[in-house]
Amino acid sequence: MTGAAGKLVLVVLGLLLVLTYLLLRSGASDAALHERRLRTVDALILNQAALQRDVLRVSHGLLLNYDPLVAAVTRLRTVGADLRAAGAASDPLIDRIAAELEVQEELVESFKSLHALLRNSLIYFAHASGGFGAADGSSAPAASVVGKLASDMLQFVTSANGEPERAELAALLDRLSTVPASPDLRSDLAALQAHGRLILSKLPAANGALASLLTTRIADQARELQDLFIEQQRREESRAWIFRAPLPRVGAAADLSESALCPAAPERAHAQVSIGVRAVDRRHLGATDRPADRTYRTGGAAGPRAAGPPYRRRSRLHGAAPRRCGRSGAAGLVSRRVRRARRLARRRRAGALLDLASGSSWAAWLHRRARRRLAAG
Amino acid sequence: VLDALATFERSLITPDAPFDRHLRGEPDAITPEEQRGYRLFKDYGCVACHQGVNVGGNLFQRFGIFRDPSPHQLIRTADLGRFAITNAPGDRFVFRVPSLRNVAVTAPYFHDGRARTLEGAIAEMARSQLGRVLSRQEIRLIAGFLRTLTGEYRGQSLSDLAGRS
Repeated sequence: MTGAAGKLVLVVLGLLLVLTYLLLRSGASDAALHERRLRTVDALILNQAALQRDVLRVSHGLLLNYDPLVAAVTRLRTVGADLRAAGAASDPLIDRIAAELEVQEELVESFKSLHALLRNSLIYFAHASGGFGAADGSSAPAASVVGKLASDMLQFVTSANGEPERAELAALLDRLSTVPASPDLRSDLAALQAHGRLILSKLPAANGALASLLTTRIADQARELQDLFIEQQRREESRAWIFRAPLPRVGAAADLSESALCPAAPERAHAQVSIGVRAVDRRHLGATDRPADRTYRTGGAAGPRAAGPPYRRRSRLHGAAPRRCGRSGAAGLVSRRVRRARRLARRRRAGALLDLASGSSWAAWLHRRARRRLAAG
Repeated sequence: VLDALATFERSLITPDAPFDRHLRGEPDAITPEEQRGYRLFKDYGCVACHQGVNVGGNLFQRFGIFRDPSPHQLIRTADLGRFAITNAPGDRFVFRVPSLRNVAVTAPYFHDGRARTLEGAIAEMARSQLGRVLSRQEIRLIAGFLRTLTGEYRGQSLSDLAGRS
């Protein structure tokens, strides 16, 4: 192998290495993972909205059981686990969302327990106070107090604040212990008093739990996370683009160098480089030629030369004497085929330029310019 | 093991209880007395906790809202309820509200089996959770309604299966 050819082989190998490195680094980020992350965040936002809707329905008596709340909490728990599994377990925002979900789960449990207590007492209160309407005689004063109590309780339950009615209600409830009533109504009055006190004490707590559930930041944090994922994906795409952009140039340079190894027949030169690479493999990696490699012939095994002598395996790469390249034997390195190869390389570069220009405002101009140059050959 | 347990539990479906058929519109699925029991069940507020497809089982509640259910007994770890797991002071004596499906064939009742009969369990719940004493007649009516929640397992009535065993 001559010194110049050896250098050229080194250049080709170097370019191939660079090409491999660029190819590896330019790989697009995991689009499927990105998609999965976005879907998971969407599920989080949707289930959070569903939970808040159902909490409101429960609190306004439009939903009479807690099964949908349990289902929403279960789904949110699953989504939280999916979010961690989506490859961003260390993200502090995900940690915050997971912590908020845990707090929310406790809030939902608290809300359900308080709401059930309230509902139980309100149902009983309505049922029991209605029974005093018919009381007369010795129980008439008790019936009067209960009537006032029922009216005030209704205001207390339906008012936004409830504080103005609270003191009056507490006083009325205390009066139930001393108000004259027949002995058979005494136990009913005691039960009414107990339920009334429970409503007074639990309603603010239940409203507090409801307010906390409605002001949770989980949906906002989920949107933040969505933006973070989108930004992360954009950054990864940009990084990949940095390595992708020079790929056509390096590829073209590798092609040209390869052609220069055998200027008359770039295809043969390509085959020679391939054989050289395999030889290097054999020498350094212990790989063996496949039968197809051993019978490699220019034009393919089924071609007209299939029956002829095998293609020169001991090429210049192996130190064989330089063989004659150009068919006409014309002197000089730059033959017509080399010019053609260069033209091809120029087209590739033009294509790469078009890639570079994609998405930019001057893409159209560059496209026209490149097309003109390509047309000019 | 957890997956196996979960799969087994998912197979424990007991549909077609008389009350299910009543809800589906079968006119004679439950008797008028049982319907009165259902009305009492709703009027007294039992339905606030025992609701949903399993008539309970979907929330936690303190045992002994209006009255200490075990005033003279030594408190054991099991009596502390959820507190034994969470150690949160607010969870003392808090238990999961049980489902009432098939309640008539799952005696004894409560976490410590203190009530041997359904009627006894209803009376205890009325005292500790509703703050009132129910009459025998009311207890009988509510128990009648609760018996309509007994379903079938693999086509066989659980009442029959329980009676045989």
